[in-house]
Amino acid sequence: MKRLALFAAAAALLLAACAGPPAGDASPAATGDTSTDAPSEWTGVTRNVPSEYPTIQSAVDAANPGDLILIDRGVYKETVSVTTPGLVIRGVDRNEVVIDGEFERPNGFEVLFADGVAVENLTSVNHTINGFFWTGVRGYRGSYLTAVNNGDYGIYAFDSGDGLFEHSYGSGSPDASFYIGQCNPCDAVISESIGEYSGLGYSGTNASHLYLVNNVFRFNGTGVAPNTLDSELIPPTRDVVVAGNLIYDNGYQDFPHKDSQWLTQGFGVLLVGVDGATVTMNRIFNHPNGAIAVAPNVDANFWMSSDNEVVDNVVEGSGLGDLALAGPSLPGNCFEGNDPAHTMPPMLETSQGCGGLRWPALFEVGSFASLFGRVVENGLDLDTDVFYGDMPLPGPQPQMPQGADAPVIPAVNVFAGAQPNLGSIETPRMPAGEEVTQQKGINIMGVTFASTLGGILGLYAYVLPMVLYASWVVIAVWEIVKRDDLGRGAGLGWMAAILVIPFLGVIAYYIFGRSQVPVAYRWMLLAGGIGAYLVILAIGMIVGGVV
Amino acid sequence: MKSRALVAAVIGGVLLGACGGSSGSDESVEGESVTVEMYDNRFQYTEIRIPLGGTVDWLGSGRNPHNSVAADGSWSTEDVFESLEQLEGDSAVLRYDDAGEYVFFCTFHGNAQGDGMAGVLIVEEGG
Repeated sequence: MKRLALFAAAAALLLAACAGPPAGDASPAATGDTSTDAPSEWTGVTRNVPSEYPTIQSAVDAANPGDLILIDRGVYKETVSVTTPGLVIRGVDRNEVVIDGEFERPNGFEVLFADGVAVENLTSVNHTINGFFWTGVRGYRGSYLTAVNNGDYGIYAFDSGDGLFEHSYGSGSPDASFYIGQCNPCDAVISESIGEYSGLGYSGTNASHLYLVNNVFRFNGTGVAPNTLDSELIPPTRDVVVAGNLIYDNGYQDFPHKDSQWLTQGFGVLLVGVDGATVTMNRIFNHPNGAIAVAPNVDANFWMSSDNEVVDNVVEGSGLGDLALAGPSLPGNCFEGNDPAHTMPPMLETSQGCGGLRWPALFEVGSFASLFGRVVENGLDLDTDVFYGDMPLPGPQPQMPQGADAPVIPAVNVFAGAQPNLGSIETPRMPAGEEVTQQKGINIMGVTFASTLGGILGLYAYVLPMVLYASWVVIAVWEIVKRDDLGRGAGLGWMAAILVIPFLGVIAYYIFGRSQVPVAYRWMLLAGGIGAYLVILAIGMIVGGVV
Repeated sequence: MKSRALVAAVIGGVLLGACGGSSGSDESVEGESVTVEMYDNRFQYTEIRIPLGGTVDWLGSGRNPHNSVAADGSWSTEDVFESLEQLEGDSAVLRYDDAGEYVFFCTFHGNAQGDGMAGVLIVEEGG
């Protein structure tokens, strides 16, 4: 017993010693400091491109805080780097003011530690990294932006607070069309926007207290994926609201992706390692895996999801489950009012409702076991190879009302005016011409057959331990029945221990119960199967590049 | 006893292998041979001191591509890695034979003025 306690303590110390995220501090702007260097009003100065300034960058460099940069129609082949706060950068025509990276330049617009910069009514295409990028700022806004075929993110805010992306469009980004990362509270809103043909429609790593409302996410690997990772500061992701969105047909098409986007494809909303999210009033349909799934995320630390509420959504057409809860998870995740056709595990709204008793379901791993096969497929380069520049080009996107003559408002105190009233949000209607087509897929104990290796290795990863355990129990109980050397009391006692104490009872019997099974067979039974299982898992992890 | 040691070693190895994360650090580092991880979106160290002839291993450790380039254009991880896009695990070891103070930055997430993902490398003569 003493040894066991010592081992437990040592294990805890080992894990505690190695599990820290990288050191460093997020910017004050991203952690609630509301001070800003930006003026709240326009200076009245307009700097015209190209009539006064030949390039956008030259106009930006000449500008004072609070100026308007007005860009005329044309294709601009430059990266615009902004370090002056409070600028409003506006195109006169969303579809005809185009910043083209020609697959050579990294970013279309990069706003670096300049508070309150708004970018409006223009398009950024073909950059190797980002279409639009804000970092380290308090106050940002992207309105009526189009970001197409950019190699990392379309529209991206990092380490920043107090922001709004609205009426914008992102497509063809291997990571995500829209991304917000490393902020708590983010005080951010993404609304009335479309994300499609990307690895993820929206991704938010360690991005807490933000709203995704009234958007469309379709034709991506997965639609919406708030998540927690150790690669960015201030984990985990908390208090995300996903409401009133139309999310459909993610996980079918060829889509540009990174490794993690390939592994997690086929979901509408996927909460991975998230605390306290609210997913409500969304219409989510046609996904090979699930409409809404709550799951853990693995990085340097193991991030389990907790206290997420999935309520009053319309969820249809899912291959695995309209709702899914994958463990291990912390308590508090609940599902209610979604009227799912089927869930994984079954009867999720009954066992994990938002009112009353929630039955223990913290270790349901079947839903995600087939990811193990995806990991191996990825390591073997069996994933599809899709160049982000080959994604479909969108048609003309809606212009900003009043265009060049719209009021000039720097991005100061943005969230206060943009925070949605959840009471007014309605579930989107089914779009014209769309229908539910995905049928419930084949699965065995939750392991899907979306791919060959996913099915085989998923079953191996999930089912084999249970088969092994069942064989231990059956052989032990059968042997006790047959043994003459055990009295009735001892025999019943061992049976009770085996049946009542999971795993440990039967192991104790084989070790201490003077089993008649030859020692070599006992070891093979107990350790051989587990050994083979661990070897297969290790090979899979190595091939998959996880370790 | 041997078998117990083996089991302990295996379990310990699994526990250690499972964590595999980055180690914590201050913002400055000094040494003859230094490794600097490039996270999303910052450098592990923003002030690096090495002696003349010292090396820095610029190691990709984020989900996004990164690089390190001198603001004066005198060196770049591209010189060694042959691409500006270093992903997780990609390493570029540069040797510094000219003393000086170099502002460095990631061309994707910072700029030559030292804004964003940036830092200072000090190569000390006779250090």
